Amino acid sequence: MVFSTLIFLFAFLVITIAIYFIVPFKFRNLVLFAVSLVFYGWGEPSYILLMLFSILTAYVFGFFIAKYRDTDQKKAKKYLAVSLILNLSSLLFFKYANFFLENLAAIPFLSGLSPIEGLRLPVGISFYTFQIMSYSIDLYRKDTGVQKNLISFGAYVVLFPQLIAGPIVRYRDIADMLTDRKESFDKFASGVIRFCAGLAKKVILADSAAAVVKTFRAANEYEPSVLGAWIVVLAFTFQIYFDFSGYSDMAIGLGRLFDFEFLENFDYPYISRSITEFWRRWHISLSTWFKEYVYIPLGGNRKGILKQYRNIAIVWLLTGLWHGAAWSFIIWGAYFGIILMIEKTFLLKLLDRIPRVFGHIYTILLIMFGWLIFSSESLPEIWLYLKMMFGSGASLATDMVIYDSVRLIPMFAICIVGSTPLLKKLYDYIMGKYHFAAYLNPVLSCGSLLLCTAYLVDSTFSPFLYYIF
Amino acid sequence: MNRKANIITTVVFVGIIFCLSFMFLLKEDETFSEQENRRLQTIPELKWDSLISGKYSEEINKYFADQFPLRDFFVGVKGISELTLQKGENNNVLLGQDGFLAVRGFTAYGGIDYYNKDLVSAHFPAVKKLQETLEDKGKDFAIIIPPRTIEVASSKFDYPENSAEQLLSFIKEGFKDVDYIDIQPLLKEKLDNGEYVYYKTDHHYTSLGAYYVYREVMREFGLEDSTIPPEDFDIELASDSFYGTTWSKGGFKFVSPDSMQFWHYKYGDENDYTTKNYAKSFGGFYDRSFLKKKDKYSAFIGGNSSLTTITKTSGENAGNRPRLLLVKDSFGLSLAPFLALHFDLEIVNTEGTTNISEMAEEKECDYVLIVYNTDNFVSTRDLSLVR
Repeated sequence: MVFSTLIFLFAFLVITIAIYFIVPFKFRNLVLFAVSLVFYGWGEPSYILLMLFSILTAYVFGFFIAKYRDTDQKKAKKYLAVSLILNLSSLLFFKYANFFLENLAAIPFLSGLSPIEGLRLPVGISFYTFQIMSYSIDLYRKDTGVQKNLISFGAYVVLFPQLIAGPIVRYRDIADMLTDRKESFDKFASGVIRFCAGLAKKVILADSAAAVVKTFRAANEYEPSVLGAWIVVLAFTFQIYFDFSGYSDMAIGLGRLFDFEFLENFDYPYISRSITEFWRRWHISLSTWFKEYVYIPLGGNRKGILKQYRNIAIVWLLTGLWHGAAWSFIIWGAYFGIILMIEKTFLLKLLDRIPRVFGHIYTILLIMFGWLIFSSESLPEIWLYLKMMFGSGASLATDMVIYDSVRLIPMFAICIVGSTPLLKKLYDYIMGKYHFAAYLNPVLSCGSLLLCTAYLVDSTFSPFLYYIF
Repeated sequence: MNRKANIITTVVFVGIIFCLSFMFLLKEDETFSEQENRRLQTIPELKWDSLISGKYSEEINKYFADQFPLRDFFVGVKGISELTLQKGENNNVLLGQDGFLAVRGFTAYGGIDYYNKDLVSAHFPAVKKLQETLEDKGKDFAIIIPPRTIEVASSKFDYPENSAEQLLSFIKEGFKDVDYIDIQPLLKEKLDNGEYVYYKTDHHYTSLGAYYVYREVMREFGLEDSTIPPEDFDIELASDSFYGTTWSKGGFKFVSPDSMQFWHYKYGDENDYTTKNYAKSFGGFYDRSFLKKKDKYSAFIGGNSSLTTITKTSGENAGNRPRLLLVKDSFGLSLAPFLALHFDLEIVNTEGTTNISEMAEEKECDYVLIVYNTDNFVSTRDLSLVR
């Protein structure tokens, strides 16, 4: 199930809130566990078994890791290894098996290999696999205590707010909240505000930007133009930010309804002045995860410059691959890995010395090229767009592109402002200065809920016209 | 932290989602949407198979969306919101001056103004061949490609015109050896003179527009002498609250409705004519039951049907008139009452009708007219298959 659907808002959420707040606290984790399983299995119920298996193995192995970590390190390590292998193998199988098979089939004597048919990716597998791993590893490292209650542990793994698109919540960050939460109006209201803001980002901005990407892409196929190509890349840049950060906002907001507090996942990434800074602000929970469980264990930056470069390379190839099983994602990861190495070597120091504006331009352009790679389905497509953006085989602009660009200026302006902390600062200023401004919260958040509902209803509204009958 | 405000936020939010879901529960399910002209999903049956395969949840999703309360209200809110964002359009429908609505782009191409030229070019030789075959058999042929609103009412929109112009000249060029009646310049001129030739909320021409088209058809068939002049018609205001398909699609609920006219020949009795389609048979050309529904345009000859015949069953010349095969999409509907004053009509849909020459022979038609609008022309392959 997805948050930005009518069924989530007006059926799932209604039922969940009702049951959750009716039952006494000791049953609330059970409620969350149960409704989250329904949320997870919606559309793919058979994968609930896979989820239960993942939870059960991690729970059992976690138990043994905790049992032996003080007395028999070796044994604990073994349990950790088996737990990680079990966990990763289902991710590898469901997400990457067909990618490997397709590529192996390119080798002459393996050409008989064919992809497994009907293999569908379980929702959120990349996210919850990493969450489970954080639990096992942290247990081994004695960074957290063991969770003896299977229901509470299950609720952590499959918790619907962050299940399908993050943030990747480390077990240790919410271990206390699993046993002790104090739901309140203040918490709930702040969750509502955050959720509605995220919903509006997703439904009004991201989806509009997505529509722009789609039509401009189609038009570029018939009449390529430089402006058209840049608009596609710009619109995708906004689409992915508002989509993803909107989703994180919704997750954080939903968590707060039940007094869970997740760490922030985005911090206005597009105002960065270097790619290094960008990756500190974009999908923070993923970067943190890779840093903590891959980069630092590999030695990080403490074992000489060569090892450090190697570690960066490994982390970024994995980051690319994590985003999807395709060559374009691997290239995308490599692209950022290389830029980060260059920045480490000398560029960061240079960027610090030149006027700020150049840093911003440099960063946003590299980010946009990154998204071009990310959003392309094939390597020739990336090349085609690169050429188009620089005028090879394309006119400067067509009448249609100019017409559409002009009418989309207000939308792009909102997207630009929305990518900066300006609105947030203004909001905080008004809230701090005027006591009654707090009463704007219900108006703004519920207004945006209704507006988003209108967009969602409209998107299902499909007049059957009798052009073709 | 303002506790009172937080309580209000909580209560209003929970109130809204609970209220709407209660409204959903209490509301009776509808099976058909007049606004959208389609069947709605009703509550799916819970079966183990469909639950496991995920089909059940898919149907529940659809059920929820289709039966959601206050749908029309929400659709209108979105339309206004898009205008507030200055986008000037909603769901690919442009909002022009004087309440004119027009669909942009082509259906099959996701709303862009481009199309596959190779596919469309295949129409031309097929139609040319058809005309030759028909002429060999002594039958008269003509084809009309009714333009889209954006091509006729272009002065009402600040939408770039060059792609429409290119398409029109592409069609004209392709049909240069065919009896193609180019009605766009005439209709555009009339509209620019303030005549009400195209509906504002619907993609069809009005009865006045259809009259002009009828006159061109008569001229093409060499029958301009028997063309009935406009003053010989009594014009009835059939409806002043017609909201067309473009209105449904666009969600601009504040736009005022169109009016719809029926043109009655002063010196004849419409009850001399019988219209017969798969559903029913009635005297005259109009099925007035549609005027009470949203789909008022279907009042013209009772709407689309796989076969409709209009015959003069009594009065002068009955049983003795020339016969015309009208191969059409919905643009043929409002044109038919004019043609029926001169011909006995056999009316079929363009979609699925390929062997036109054989059909013309079977039905003993002396004339064949194809009416197929621009969007269908570029979006479908039907015309390439005619013979």
